[in-house]
Amino acid sequence: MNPTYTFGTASMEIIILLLLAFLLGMLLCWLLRKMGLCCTVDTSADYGYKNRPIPREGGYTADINSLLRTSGNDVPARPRTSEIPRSATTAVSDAAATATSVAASIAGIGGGRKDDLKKLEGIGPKIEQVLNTAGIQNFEQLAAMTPDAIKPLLEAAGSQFRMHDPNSWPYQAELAAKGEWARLQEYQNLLINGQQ
Amino acid sequence: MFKDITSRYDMTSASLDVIIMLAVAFLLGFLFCYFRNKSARED
Repeated sequence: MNPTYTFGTASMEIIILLLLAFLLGMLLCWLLRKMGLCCTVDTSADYGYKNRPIPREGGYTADINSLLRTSGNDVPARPRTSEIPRSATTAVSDAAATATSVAASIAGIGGGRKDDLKKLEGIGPKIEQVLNTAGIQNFEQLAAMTPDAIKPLLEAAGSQFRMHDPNSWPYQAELAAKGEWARLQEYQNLLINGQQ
Repeated sequence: MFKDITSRYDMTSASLDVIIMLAVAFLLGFLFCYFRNKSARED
């Protein structure tokens, strides 16, 4: 028997090895996701939206330059119907008022049509529900908003939505509204791989 | 299994048990990352 190899030493070794194996597993998953080999969602299906007539007029300015857009350097050329300053507090009453004003300002856009907002990268069923509740039903409405106007809606919906970054949503919605699905797919691939 | 491992001379003599435990931990780590990522996307 090795006198220096005590129960405590052995336990510590095992715990460290288990932790390392756990972290290694996570690392492999992360690497596979980065390489696009695993854990990605197929967004290539267009569900027939390609044939839907999308109004080309409306002043959207989607172009490849928008890929360079950052949260601190938003393209000012896009006409926004809603410019809501982010308040210092995130009280529920303020957020509810924000949601109401958002709904009022974008109510007429898109002709009341309802789009599948889940087609945009970063938006799942729960976030879609939050947006729908706030009055955002279609791509044109979402495209007409700024990320700063969307954030209060997420914050009002609960702490689990605060981590989500809506910076790319208006541009994605703009591409979807214009029916530019190939470009949207390209942009989403960039988002997934580059985490813009 | 834990007692078997710790009562041996040193860690190298408990190879099979350790390998099984490490494989399970590795799998758990992978699944943890996978499902966390999946639930984040569904949000």
